[in-house]
Formats: sequence, C-alpha cells, structure tokens
Amino acid sequence: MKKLLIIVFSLLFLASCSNELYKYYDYDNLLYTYGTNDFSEKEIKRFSRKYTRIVESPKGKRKLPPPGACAEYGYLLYLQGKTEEAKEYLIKETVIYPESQTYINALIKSLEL
Amino acid sequence: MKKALILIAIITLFISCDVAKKIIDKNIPQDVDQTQDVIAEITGEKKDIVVDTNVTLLTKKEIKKIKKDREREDKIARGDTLSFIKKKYYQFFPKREDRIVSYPKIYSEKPKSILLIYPWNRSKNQNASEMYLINISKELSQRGYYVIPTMISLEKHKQDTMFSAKYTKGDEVRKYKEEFGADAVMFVTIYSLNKPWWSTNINSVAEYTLFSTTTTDTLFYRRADFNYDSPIPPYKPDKSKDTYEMDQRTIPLFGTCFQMQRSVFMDFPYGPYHKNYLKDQEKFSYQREMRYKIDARPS
Repeated sequence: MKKLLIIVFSLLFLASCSNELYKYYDYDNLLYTYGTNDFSEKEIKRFSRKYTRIVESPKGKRKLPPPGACAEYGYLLYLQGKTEEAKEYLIKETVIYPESQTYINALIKSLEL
Repeated sequence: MKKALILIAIITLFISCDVAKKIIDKNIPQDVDQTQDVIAEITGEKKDIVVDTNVTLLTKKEIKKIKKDREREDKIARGDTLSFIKKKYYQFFPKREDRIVSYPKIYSEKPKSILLIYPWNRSKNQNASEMYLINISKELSQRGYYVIPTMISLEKHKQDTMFSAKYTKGDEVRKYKEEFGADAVMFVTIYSLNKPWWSTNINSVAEYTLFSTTTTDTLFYRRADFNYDSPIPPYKPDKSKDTYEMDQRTIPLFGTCFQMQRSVFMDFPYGPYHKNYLKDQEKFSYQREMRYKIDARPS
C-alpha cells in the first residue's frame, strides 16, 4: 500500500512539473481572435485588459514574460493613445531580450514615440 | 596535225575553265537567303536553328546499357547510393542521425532571433495562416529563441505593409537583418489543413524553411504530413472567465496545428534561452520529410 501511494504521489509530482520556459495563459485565443477580426477602439481596450495577465504575472521556468509579449502590450497601449506607457513596455522588451533592440528601435521610430 | 592541235587546245581550255569555275564557286561566298531573318526580326519570333545530327542506329542491348548507365549516374548525382534492400530496411528502421549532422549550420551560426514571415496559405482553410503563425511562434519561443512579435506582424500583414511567404524569395532575406535585426527567417507554406465531414481524421501538410540572414544558407528544412485521428481533442483551450471563446469548429483544427508544431520542432536545436543550449548536439533528429500520425480511435 505504501509503495502504491509513493508511486501515485511521484506520478502526480512529475505531472505537475512542466518544462515550459514561459506561461502563455490564453495567448492563443487572444491572438487568433485579433488576427481574424477587425477590432474597434473599444475592443482593443478590452483586448489589452485581457492581455495584461501575460505581461504582469509571468510564470514558467524563466519567470519572465514570453518573447514579444511586452512589445505587443506596448503596441496595444499605443493604439489606445497611452504613448508614455507604451514606450516603457517597448523599452522593457529590449531590456529582457537584447536581440529585439533593432526591431524595437525601428518600431519606436515608426510609431513616433 | 593542225586540226589535232586545235582540238587539244580547245579541250584543255574547256577543262581549265571547268576547274577555274569550281575554284571560284568554292571560294566566293554564296548569297544566303535573308528573308527569314528579316521576318524573324520584324515579328520578334525566334528562327528555328537547324542542327546537323548524325543518326547512328544502336542495337537493343546497347540502348539498354546506355539507359542503365544514365540511371546509375543520376542516382549518384542525387546521392542515392543505397541498394534496394538497404533502402527498404532504412524505410522501416530509419538510421539515427544526430542533430549536429542534420543541422550543422544552426550550431555554427547560432541564431538567436527568428522572424516568422506570414505563411503562404495554399489550403482551403482561410485562417490556417494565423493558426500556424501563433503555434510556430509559441513553439520556437519555448525552445529558447527570441521570436519577433507575432501580433505586430499580423497587424502589418492586415495593413498590407508586410509580404507573405508567397512573395518573398529566399535570397532576399538579408534585408530582414537590417530591418528587424533577425538572425534567421522562417518561411512556411501550408498545403492543407482540413477535416473531411465523413472522417474523424484531420490532415495537415506544410513545408518549413529557415534561412540565415547573414549567409542566406538554409538552416532547417522540413516537409511534414501530420494526421490526427482521435476522439480525444488535440487541444484544450484556456477556459478562464475573462477571455475570448474560439469557435467549436476551429478548436480541433487549431489543436491539430498545435500538435503538429510540437512534433515538427521536437528535434529543433535549443535556443540561447534554454538550459540545454548547444548541449543537444548528439540527440536524435528526424528526417527532412516527416510523416506523423496519431491514431487513437476506439476499437
């Protein structure tokens, strides 16, 4: 009986461990809806509220937002007219992922932030 | 006597004239009929060039021998040097190849950031590109690479300011290094993503090519034919309260796409953000053309 319990617990423990570097939450749903629909300004506000969780409460092995998440959130804030916050998030992306420097600089330039 | 001399002189004269004529005909270039050339110049059509060919008749044995030789040469050129039995054996028991052998350029160039070009959708499913784009970006991120933000690429494609993989050629990738700072660019062509109404099987076929933006070399190539045939849904959408709901018909297709990317990139070398970065060189790798089927129908 003891052995069985140990096996069950170890299996449960192994099942709870995930090898994923980042936690995406409902990123699939959000991005698929964004990609297949044309959003109004009101919808973008609602959308960015739902997106906040991915950026603000990162989980996974690295405990950081996934690549591109900060930039995408910054872009959403820009679409709502929150330019300062948008720039903050875009810069945050370059801090977490230095490879994004070229792209983010070009984006900041094109958005005139 | 006189008559004979005159006769001989006349004959020699005739002969010399004939010889002289022949020499003149040989040396003076003959007038070529240029009307065909003029017509071709006016109409812009190409003039047929007649090439003299010597036809030699070969016996059946000789023809067979030449055919065999040519086939052998073609096989060697293709790199196909295995015998029939060995080939069949490797079809069922594939030879294990390490990742360093399959993807040597990824390990030598060490790309850190990847740009996903909007996939070229040749399937009948309208939203296949979005499904692929989202799932590939997620999969590559989980393998430790930096993927250029997908949402902004989607938005750019919506605004018609970014080309899809259909219009971008492999040798034009250098510009993405300057524009996006990407070390590698991935092109995807989707051939099918469908579920026929009479079957429970979902089939998806796609081709993936990863190009280096510094050398334009192909770093990774795969053609995958993926089938998912099971009553168990391939994907569990996030059911938190504050989210959008995916269409019930889309979920199995999206899920198949998700499962497909899992298997396609299962042997993809780890990126710089993964703890196994550059440590997986001796692990297994799949073949370039991959057929994968999940068949879990109830008996």
